[in-house]
Amino acid sequence: MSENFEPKIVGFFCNWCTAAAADLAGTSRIQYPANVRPIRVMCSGSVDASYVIKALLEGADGVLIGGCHPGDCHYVNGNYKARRRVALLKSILTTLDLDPDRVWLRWISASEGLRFAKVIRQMTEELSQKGPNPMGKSPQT
Amino acid sequence: MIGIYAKGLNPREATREFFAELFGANLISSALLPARKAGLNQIFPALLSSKDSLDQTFPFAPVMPLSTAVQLSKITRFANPTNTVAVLLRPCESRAAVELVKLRQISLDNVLLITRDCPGTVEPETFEEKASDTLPGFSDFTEDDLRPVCRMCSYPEAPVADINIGTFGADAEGGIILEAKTEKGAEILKHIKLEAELEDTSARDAALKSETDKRTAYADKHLAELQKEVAGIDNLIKFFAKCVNCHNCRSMCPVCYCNECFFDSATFHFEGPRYEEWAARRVVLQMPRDEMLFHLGRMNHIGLSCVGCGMCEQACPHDIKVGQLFALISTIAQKELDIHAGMSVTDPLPLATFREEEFTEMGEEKV
Ligand code: SF4
Ligand code: SF4
Ligand code: SF4
Ligand code: FES
Repeated sequence: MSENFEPKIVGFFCNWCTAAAADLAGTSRIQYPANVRPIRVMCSGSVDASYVIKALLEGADGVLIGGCHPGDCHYVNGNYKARRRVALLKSILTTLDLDPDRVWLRWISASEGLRFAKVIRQMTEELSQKGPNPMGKSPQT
Repeated sequence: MIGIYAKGLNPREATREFFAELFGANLISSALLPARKAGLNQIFPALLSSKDSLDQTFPFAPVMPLSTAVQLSKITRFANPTNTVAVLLRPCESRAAVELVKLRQISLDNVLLITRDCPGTVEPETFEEKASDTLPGFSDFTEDDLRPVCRMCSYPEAPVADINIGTFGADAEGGIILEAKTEKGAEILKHIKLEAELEDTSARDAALKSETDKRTAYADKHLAELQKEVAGIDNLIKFFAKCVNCHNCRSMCPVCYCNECFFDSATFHFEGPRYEEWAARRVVLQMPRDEMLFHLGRMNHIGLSCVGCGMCEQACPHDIKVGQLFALISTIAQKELDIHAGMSVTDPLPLATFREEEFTEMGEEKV
């Protein structure tokens, strides 16, 4: 891929964990690439697949859903439901040859600023390898 | 309990006879089954209040204008607990009804669910072409006339029913095979004169198996070709080239139950200048917007509930093979996630539940 391709990541971050981890990474001055556009959601379980698809069709190169670790969801089990929904989404994307690896689900707790930075770094790297998302370039999408 | 009923009659006559007996013995208060539209060559589900108009019914007409499951949600709303409504459904309609029970859109409490074996259906236009004073039957059509989703359907017999009316494994004039599949069904059949208990079901089992095998082979081949045809975003856009985003497919889908569909909601009402902004970003912006989002979003909403009935495709004004596409994604997804639509009313709702031990690798990976 061209040297200066900077992948755009749309992040749906749970208010109670990943969003806080992002803040923590910021306040503790942990370095991570500025490729992510964070959207705060109340729970990973509130992320409908259509939000993820919308982001991909609008030119996001990847989507990261960040939720609380299993057992830690503030709404008891929203993250388990999110996990099943992501599994379905990935199955459909795979069937249609639409690169399921652009969608990531990660459990990142409020105290894991370091893990948050690592995930962003890793995702940015992998998406850079992949290049721009073909889903977002057509006038029809 | 399984036995032959009304030997000497063809399945249509035998089924009318069966419903007449149900009415006659006061076992049901009304019946919903396919009937001829008065004076026309089309079939629609009709609610009958007595046995007198049973001659208008065509229980085996090989055409399905809409999924009767949806009508069932109307009839069972605040149903009178002392009445019993008998409904005659095809396997895919029964499976859609099961999904609607899971979604709390239907209650089967006052319903006697009667299903019938289904060899397949043709489009309403194809049906009408062959009709004259008499309506065509299944044998008036060739395999190629059948809707492709029917040729792929792996349920010639409904998985859920109180009573099933079997034709596979019966002779053309040999009556129908009645089978009670629940206690409710067995209770009803006690009042019905069966010709003979079917002690040896091997002919029926073999007929059902060979039908299922044939369809599975067709589905494997056909869906593999379709998957190639739609592979990648460019091909998917081509597949939907004629789509006008009318949402007819969604309107006729029995399992797309939302009173207000998300894709018709105010979420998608934007202010004019937004469109100009988007156009500026893309240079060319096709209108109407969001058709690809609609289809991919809908796949995710109901992929685990899709019963492959093809009502979406039949409703499409532009003959887009949308039902076959949904059959493709849902067959694979339901297999991969081990969640199967229409199999049991006690199954949990796919997207509102979870198993703690499933997909555990997801969310943990790397780092
Ligand atoms: S998506 Fe199409 S095939 Fe699937 S249940 Fe709905 S109408 Fe039937
Ligand atoms: S597409 Fe989704 S929101 Fe619309 S009716 Fe179907 S399930 Fe409901
Ligand atoms: S019915 Fe056909 S044209 Fe209308 S939205 Fe569905 S696929 Fe598109
Ligand atoms: S509250 Fe964080 S995932 Fe549910």
